[in-house]
Amino acid sequence: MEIEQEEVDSTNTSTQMEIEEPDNDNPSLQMDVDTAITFEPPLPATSTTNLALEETSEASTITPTPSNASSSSETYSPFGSSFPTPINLHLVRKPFKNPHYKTPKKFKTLKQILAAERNLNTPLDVPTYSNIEAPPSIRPQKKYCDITGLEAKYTDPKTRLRYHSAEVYKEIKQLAPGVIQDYLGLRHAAVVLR
Amino acid sequence: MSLREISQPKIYNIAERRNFTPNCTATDYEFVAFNTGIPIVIDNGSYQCRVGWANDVSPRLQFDSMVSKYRDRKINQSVLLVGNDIYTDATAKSNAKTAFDGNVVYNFETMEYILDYIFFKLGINTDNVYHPILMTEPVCNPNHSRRLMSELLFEGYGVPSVCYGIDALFSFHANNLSFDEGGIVASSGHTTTHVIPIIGGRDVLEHSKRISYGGLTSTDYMLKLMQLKYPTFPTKMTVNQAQHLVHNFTYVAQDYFKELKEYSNTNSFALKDRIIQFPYVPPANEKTEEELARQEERRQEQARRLKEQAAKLRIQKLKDLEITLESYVQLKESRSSMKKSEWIARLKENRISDEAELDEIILKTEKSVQRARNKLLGIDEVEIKEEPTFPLVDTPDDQLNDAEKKEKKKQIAAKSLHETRQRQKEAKELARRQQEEEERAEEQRRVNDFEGWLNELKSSYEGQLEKVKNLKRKKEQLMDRRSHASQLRMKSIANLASDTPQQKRRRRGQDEDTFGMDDNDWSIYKEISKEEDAWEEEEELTQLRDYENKLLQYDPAFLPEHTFDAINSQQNSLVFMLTRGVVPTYDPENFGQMHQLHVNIERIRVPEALFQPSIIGLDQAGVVETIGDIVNRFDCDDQRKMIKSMFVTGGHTQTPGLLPRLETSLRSILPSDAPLRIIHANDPVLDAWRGAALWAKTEDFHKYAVTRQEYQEYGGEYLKEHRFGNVYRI
Repeated sequence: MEIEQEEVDSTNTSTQMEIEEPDNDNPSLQMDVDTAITFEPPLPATSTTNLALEETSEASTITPTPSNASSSSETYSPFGSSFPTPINLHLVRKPFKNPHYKTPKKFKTLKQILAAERNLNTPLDVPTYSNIEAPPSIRPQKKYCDITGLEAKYTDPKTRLRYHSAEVYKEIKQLAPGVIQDYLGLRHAAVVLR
Repeated sequence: MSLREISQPKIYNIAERRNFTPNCTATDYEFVAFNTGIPIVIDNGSYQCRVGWANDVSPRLQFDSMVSKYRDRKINQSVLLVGNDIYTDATAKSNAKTAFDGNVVYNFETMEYILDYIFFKLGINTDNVYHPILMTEPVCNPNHSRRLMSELLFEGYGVPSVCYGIDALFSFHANNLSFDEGGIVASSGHTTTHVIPIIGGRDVLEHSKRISYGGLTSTDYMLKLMQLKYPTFPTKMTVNQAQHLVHNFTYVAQDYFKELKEYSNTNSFALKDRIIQFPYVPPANEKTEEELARQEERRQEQARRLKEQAAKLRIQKLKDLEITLESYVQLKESRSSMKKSEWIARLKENRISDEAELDEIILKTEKSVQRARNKLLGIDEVEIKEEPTFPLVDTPDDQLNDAEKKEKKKQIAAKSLHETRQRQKEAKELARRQQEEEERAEEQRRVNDFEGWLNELKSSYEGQLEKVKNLKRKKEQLMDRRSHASQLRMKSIANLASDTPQQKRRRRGQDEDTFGMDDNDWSIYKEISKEEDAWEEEEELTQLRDYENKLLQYDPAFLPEHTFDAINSQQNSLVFMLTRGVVPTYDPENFGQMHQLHVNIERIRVPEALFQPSIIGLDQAGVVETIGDIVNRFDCDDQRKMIKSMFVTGGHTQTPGLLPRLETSLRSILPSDAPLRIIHANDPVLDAWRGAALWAKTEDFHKYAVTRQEYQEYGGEYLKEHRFGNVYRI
């Protein structure tokens, strides 16, 4: 059966806190608005299904805005009259879950997974995760000032920072060594001791 | 718009990232989906997870892919929150974990919680999930990850069948672009950007490429840039705030170098600079205008009272003085009425030794009375100091008796003191007269020969400037250990400390150490001391400023901005402009301004890294170069097909100005007659889910889904290749 479900507004764009609209030119930019979110504890007379809903202590401090799902009285409101509350998953009944399923506790990080993949010796024409990484650029690298971001025509030989003009150079001379390494770290050029 | 017109620029408030309302739990399961076998479509992204039934128009659930597990101390319970629920509690927010490492799922415990949450929210109450699952996975997902995911789904939830696909391709499908026609998809997501060509009805993964730049990388970069730009900022900037900056204030520059020039130009800078205000608490002791006025009044009151009191005291003193004067005068007059010895006794009572002293005292008191009266009346009096006389100094000793000898000594001392004072006064007078002479001479020269005088002044000014700069340079050189000045200093120190010091002049026959005989030897200690001779610097600087003042006065070409102070002032530097803006001028005391940030060049720098990853230090080609590279690998016909449908999708592509920039850049590398057409997804964020849902309703989906039996036979890594999916390899 095909029931046309209304679009659920799970992202409420209600009135916002004191925020000025940024003047971006592209109208297709979706405004991620700030909502002052408040939660009320759910009304006692809720028509829910046979799912046990537990409230956590957080519920008392926050109140929800009702989701505007139902338009007409004929279409069945999929969410009843219960307001969404934060749910502690530990306390919830999960009938769909296989009770004998054991969650694996140890996980390989991406680095380890990729290392293991490398050892498999797959033929070279088959795309793998490591394979499809974009190769380095052929074009000569354009250099930008590390301090200001403008075009950098010069490099300081002592600190290896790139700078835009003599003015910026004066600033560089007054930097502390830690800060210099931070600037270099912005473009992965810092000295890394392991 | 000139600079003057923007006297009050708009100030934007920083805002934390949006807090979603948590998703509602569905209560319509029996009504909608029970016993129907409708596929569940899960767009499993590293930023957000979107879930819905295949026949929904939009995903029912849309939440951040985060899980927070912690122990609540108050109720002594372990709490597990998933998705947007974590934003309801601060501890939860700080414990948030994601199942992803990059764009690959690696933490399946977290994934399990997310799936629990999904099925719970969908309202499923059967003992197994009796719905086929269509899930998205990254391009070239490692087999390990897929195996664990299939395991989780089949073993943990008992699903009947599972199918995996690539989200960017689903988005392509949702926008009514045909696979048979071909195209090229550029998808920029949270952690990565992929470019995937589509030819001959399927995705050509062998030629697809991945750039490690996405929304998360740009947020990180923005945060680091801001932290370095404002190291002394009073509050700490969070990732969410950086994300707010990236989402709302960045844009892609059409011509990067041109935009940079506009930012460095003071006039156009103010238009493009954005001021962000962070929340702050103004200090408690800030006084309002009324309070200040009241304080002023109080101060004036006090001053008046003091003056009155002082006047009263003066009057009192005058009266006292007059009384004492009266008594002394009486005493003197009473001499005639008393016997001499009695009178002398009376004098002794008043601690006066003889008549002469009495006379002196009377004189003094008269004078003070006169002075007090004058002060009261406000008459300025002219003091006539008589020349003190030293009568006894010239008489030779043998003519005097003892008392007179003592007198004489006293008088000699007094006389010499008096004479030195005279001499000093004369010297001062002389110096002053000399200076006046000089100034008059200079005035004369200036009046007579303006040009010549001005030139002389300029040259002496330049000489002075040189001196100041040299001092600075010397100071700097001493800082650097390897400079010549520093090495000389080391030599001097070593020489002084050694047992066999090198003498300045070769002494033939003499081995004595004669250091110190000549006064100038000691100056070596002054030279090796590293302490800055601030006094000398100050002197030179004041001399310099002197010259500058004169120049300012008489030379029309010498403007205030040419002075030494103005040139070195921090306020005029480029870096200052970038951090503190131009208008309104920065006031270090203003608390509001202390909590303000200026985003200017970062607005274009952060999105530019997608086009030039070397900005971030990534050793990868930019997106335009990658696209060009891929396109060139195909033959002519295929190329034209691909270029005609260049599709751009993904949440990160919502940056304004991205598409025009892509278009211009691509046109510059493609042949001029290329039929380039760039299509932006209708909904870059949700179209992947929509495309997946569309496909899940077709027969194709059921054909390519991996059933439970197949999973048990072939293992979790097994995958049936289809146009939206990855390539299967063993």
